[in-house]
Amino acid sequence: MTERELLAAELALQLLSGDEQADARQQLADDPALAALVAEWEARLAPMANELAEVQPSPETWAKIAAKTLAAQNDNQQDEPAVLKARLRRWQWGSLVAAAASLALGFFGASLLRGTGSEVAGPAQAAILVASLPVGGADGPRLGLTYLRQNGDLVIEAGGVPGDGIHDHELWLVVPGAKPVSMGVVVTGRQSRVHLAPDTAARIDQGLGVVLTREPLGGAPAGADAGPVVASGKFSTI
Amino acid sequence: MPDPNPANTLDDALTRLANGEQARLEQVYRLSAPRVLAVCLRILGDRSEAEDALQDTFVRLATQAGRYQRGRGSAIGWLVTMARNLSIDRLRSRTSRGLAAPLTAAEAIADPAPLADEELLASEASGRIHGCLNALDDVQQGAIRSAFFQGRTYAELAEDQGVPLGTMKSWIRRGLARLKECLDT
Repeated sequence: MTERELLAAELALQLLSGDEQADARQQLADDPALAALVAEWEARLAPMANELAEVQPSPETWAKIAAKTLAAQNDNQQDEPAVLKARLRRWQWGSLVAAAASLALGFFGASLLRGTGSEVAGPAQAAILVASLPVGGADGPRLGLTYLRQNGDLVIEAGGVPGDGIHDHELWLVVPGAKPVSMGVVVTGRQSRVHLAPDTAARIDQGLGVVLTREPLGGAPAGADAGPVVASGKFSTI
Repeated sequence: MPDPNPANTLDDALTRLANGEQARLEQVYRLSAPRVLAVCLRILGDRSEAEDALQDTFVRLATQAGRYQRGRGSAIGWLVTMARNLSIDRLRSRTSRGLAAPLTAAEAIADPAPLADEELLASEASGRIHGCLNALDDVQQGAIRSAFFQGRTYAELAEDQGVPLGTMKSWIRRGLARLKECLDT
């Protein structure tokens, strides 16, 4: 085996340290053929990992990945101005921290249960509203909502929220002094995007509560009351 | 809404992601995350940090999937490599911050060969690499396994074994040469 192949193996295994490692990385950056040899060694060695027993990740890990990568996907869409995308991206990176902080203050549940309408914003309606609903306790997964007023779309991030196969979950907008307005059944375990009916879209504003209820498959039957509340939050601006 | 055109295998899903179908990221995750997390956990020895490394891997994959080239190694091998490298970055930044490594030196060097296992041998690639590793002497095999599974460097392995750095290097280099010879035949 040549010196070059040995170096490639050392780089693949990451055996080097200090100056040797710095020199080798510089060579790697300058030499695509060496990079190809490293990739060959990586492919040779990778099957060693097959001996490890698989470990199921926590549901929240996918939710975090989805929150971080959603912004990149939105960047590819033409219909959202750059300034909104930038704000959305900032919110997505910070949302989990913010949600955890809000939970620590008991903010979501308390204000929602009072059903207060006093926090509704003034005449200028925010272009993006967000809500984060903890499902199953502070350490459990969260349902993330992002409402884009410009096109009336609600992005629902339910990647970390497991379904049980015998119920559906339905989202409701809590309007003070009126019946809750359904925003549809949530597809659990993934991200989805729904276009809201104009009447519902016109009502969404910061401070309004949103709840997730457990319903029979297919959602709450027409005319019936909503099922038990499993998570709650409220819309706020970014 | 059901996927009208599901990818049947991880290779399919990753190839489509590499071709710009961003929505395949979740499918790639569902098909590979338990094995990728196993690698992160083995290297980092801490569940919470391993989940963070898993997250790093897929956030990076979302932007770098285009580098995957089907036919040059398996999809799972490519993902395992990315996860291993990111986990080692975390491990080394932890060491440089002066935090204790999760394993003692004695535990790190003594990474025993696994018992023969039907499921393991069912995979041709893993069967070959394990067969060839088993053909090495115990010191070479142990050192290569510790480098792979715990991200140990030449310098750390030499210290673990109480031998000069040059000695450890020549043991491992001879082992790597024999390993390649065995895998290529």
